[in-house]
Amino acid sequence: MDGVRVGKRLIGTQSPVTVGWENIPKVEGGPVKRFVFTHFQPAILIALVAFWLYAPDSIAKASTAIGIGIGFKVLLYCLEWVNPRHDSWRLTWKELVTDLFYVGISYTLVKYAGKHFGDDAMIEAVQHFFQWEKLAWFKDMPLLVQAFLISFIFDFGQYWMHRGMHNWYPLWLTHSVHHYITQLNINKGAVGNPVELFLIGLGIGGFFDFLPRAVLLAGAIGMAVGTYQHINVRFNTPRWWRFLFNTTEHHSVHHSQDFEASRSNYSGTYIFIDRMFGTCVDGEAEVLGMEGGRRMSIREQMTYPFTEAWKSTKSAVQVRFQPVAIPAE
Amino acid sequence: MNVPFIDRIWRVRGSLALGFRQSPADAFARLDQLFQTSGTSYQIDDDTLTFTKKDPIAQDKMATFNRGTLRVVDDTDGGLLLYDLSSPTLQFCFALPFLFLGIAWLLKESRNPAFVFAGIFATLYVVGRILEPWLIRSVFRKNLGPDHLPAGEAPQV
Repeated sequence: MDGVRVGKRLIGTQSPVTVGWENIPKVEGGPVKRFVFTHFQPAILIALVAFWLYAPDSIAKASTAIGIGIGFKVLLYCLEWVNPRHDSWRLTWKELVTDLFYVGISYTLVKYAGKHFGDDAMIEAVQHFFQWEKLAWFKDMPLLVQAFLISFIFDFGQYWMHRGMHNWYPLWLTHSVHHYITQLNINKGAVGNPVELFLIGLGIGGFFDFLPRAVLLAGAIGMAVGTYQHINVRFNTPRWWRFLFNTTEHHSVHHSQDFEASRSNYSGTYIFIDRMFGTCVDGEAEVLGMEGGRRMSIREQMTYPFTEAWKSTKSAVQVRFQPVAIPAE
Repeated sequence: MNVPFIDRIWRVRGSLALGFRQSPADAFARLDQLFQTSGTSYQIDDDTLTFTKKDPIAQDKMATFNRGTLRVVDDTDGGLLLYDLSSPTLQFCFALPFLFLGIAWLLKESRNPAFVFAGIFATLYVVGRILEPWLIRSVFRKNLGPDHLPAGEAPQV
């Protein structure tokens, strides 16, 4: 494969990657279907932002956010059914079971670990030490600006954590497992080693607890944009959206079997962070995974980072202490 | 593992009337594409095909069943395919409600999500135990039916 030059890099030399928006297929079907799949993403984003800006306090609660999140997911399942991006990404019963297992683990055990040993515990300690109430000036900004800043700061942190995972071997060990998926569906974001889910969950969200409405609004923006990273739906995403926000197209390039392509599009919500740092590749890929698309079983996903770390450490120690003998001349 | 009754949790046995006689070799040749996927190994002994699939990919049509045997025998009305398939995924899904009930017991302060997932997996198990045998049967039927005979070959009843 020749690949396509993007900046200094050749994308798609090992596995097919479509580069450039003009080469990506459009939604096929009648005018109603094309209308729906062109305007769905902005319409949902605007509706959610309007809700969290104007809803009375009596209904603008965390429990409502959970309800909206579940309803949104069910709606997206329907869209995946009606208008899949690739038939080879169609959800099967087995994939649903394994995906939901990871979702279940992250909603229970990983969340518990985060609460007691992760960012929640650290944030509480830091807040106590620095008296974050002094940041009250943040409260005087418009709600939408507060929410944007919260989600941007969070995503900026995630960008570097994710980029770090692709560049530093110990972190890569935990993240590599997530790259063995060969399809994208809406639950695939949760598929990975729990250690990674714990690390990626480390953020600054909890710092803004004194701004509950802004946090809920930031969460809604993250959901109405970030969810499309892992989804099997063909959209005619508007040009402005794909310039600013991460899309399935971007994230499928990131999951491609092509090594260079996988080292792009690291952000979760704001793809312009990738544009700022020169890691954005506009395009899409259907053939995903690692090692030629080998599937990793749940058992292997759980143990892989540790067994690989053990193997690498062992071989490094052997090389250090048992250098190859040089025959005497 | 041969545990009568209990193994119904993860084992699917069934038969499919082929409607016309076909030799085991012919029938297995028509099913060949199901076994030409990564991680699959199989062996044919006369009228019996035994297969194993190690970590089949999501796109594998038989991904739910990792082990099994297929037999083609003669019946008074024509050929008959007998299959006996094992699914670690059905076994896993059956165990998941118990796992999440265990998690609920561990996390006493926030147990509701664990209860919800226990319920989801119990439902998914029932759906899968009905859906997956039906799907695999229809895959066999589509591949072995008279529509899939090579051109110019008439079925022998």
